Amino acid sequence: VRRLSLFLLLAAACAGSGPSPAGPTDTVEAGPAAAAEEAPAPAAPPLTPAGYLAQLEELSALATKNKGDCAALAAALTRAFEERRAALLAPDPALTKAISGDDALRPRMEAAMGALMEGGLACRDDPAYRALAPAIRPAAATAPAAAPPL
Amino acid sequence: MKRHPITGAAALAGLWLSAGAASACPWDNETYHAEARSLPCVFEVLVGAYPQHTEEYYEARIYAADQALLFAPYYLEALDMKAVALLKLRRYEEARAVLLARAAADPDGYETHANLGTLYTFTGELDLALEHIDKAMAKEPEAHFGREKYHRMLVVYLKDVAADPEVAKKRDFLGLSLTRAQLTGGSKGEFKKSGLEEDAFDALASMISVYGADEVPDLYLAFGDLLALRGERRLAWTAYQRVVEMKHPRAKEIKKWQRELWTKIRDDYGPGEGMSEGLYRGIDQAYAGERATAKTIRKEYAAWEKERLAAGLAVFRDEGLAEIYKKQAEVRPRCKAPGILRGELAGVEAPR
Repeated sequence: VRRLSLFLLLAAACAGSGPSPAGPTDTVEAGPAAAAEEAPAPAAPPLTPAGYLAQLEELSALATKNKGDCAALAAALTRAFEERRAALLAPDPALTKAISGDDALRPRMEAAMGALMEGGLACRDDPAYRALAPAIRPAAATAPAAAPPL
Repeated sequence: MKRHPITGAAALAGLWLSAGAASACPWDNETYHAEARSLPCVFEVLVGAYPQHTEEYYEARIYAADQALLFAPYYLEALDMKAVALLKLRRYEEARAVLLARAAADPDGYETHANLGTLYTFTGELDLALEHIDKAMAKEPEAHFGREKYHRMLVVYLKDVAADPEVAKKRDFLGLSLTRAQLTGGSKGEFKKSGLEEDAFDALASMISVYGADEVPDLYLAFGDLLALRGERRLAWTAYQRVVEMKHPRAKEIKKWQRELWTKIRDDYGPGEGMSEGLYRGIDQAYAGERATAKTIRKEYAAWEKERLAAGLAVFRDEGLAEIYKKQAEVRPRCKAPGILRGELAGVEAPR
């Protein structure tokens, strides 16, 4: 995953696009330099709800893996977020709506979000973890400027 | 906990709305636990003898929601959880920002409109509140276990009172203006004739005990009127007592009603009717005792909740909420919903 993440970062830097909509996988073997030299990467297709969820599940797996070690969790989440910044920083709001309306995806989303909430709550008083939010979202922008028309 | 500010149209509605806002029907993942199957019984609601969440609980819900929103900023369940917690803490501007994010992600969602309707009710933006309540009800006509319509009636009433403060002296928000005969001669038959439905009791109990409108005298006035009309005179007396204590503009008139009710209650429960002496000797004494008990209940529950939060209770999960509501029912039994007035713990019925 780390090798692929590096590839994605380089590809994004060269082509100005984000990571694959399906998120990192272990099956990609192509070297980053070769890929970059051969041709500019095409613009990434829009993220699908399942692809978006897969990325969130990877983050939630870190919460489970690093349970009990807040500093490690904070570091892992920071790294993972940076690797997926293009997809996670300002996602299409319709993605979560689509996930909520899908009987197969919704429970997976609840499980992923539950793991992140649990991990965060357990590390509530940890300085390293508390530094996570301002580090990855310096200006927490979760709200649009105005409500949509009625 | 902060009191509701007097805002907008609610302020115009009159000083007795010093609690400043009305009840409403917000929706998040706690709603089912809090209301679907049980509620505090009517008597407990009237005297305040039910556990209330601590500020620490809502802060924990907000923090938990933020952990999800950090990575998925439009996760609807977390937006609802955070917005409702902010509403409970009276942090309306923060709640507004969260709910606008929710509206961006789910512009047609029932929860979007139900929660915005609630926000605007609390802030006194009553026209906006009505628009969103109507949107919510159009999406789900039987929304919120059929209780959303009472939220709507309350907002319409507040608008009417804002336009003409005299309205508050003539009728309650359900439109009731009891006659003397209805006040002391209420019965199930009289209630049925009024066209009102039993779910009104559930709705009022929710508004007061779940949504934090426990300082809004208009709700207790409507509760008293409903109970009197249905022949629940002891409960009606209790509801009216809260109205008097909260200095509603009709307090003087309502004190007279209480005396008439008390006379009727004594006739109903006179000695030798199989009732204990305490029940007929002094309802005001019993009331004072229950109000004192209410404080103890809340204090004990708050201590438990804080302890569990410190231990990491998962307030965002069903299991955590189930533990909370199990404890609340242990502290003070709850009545089955819908139909809490029919619950066996709902109070002593007068002989027929």
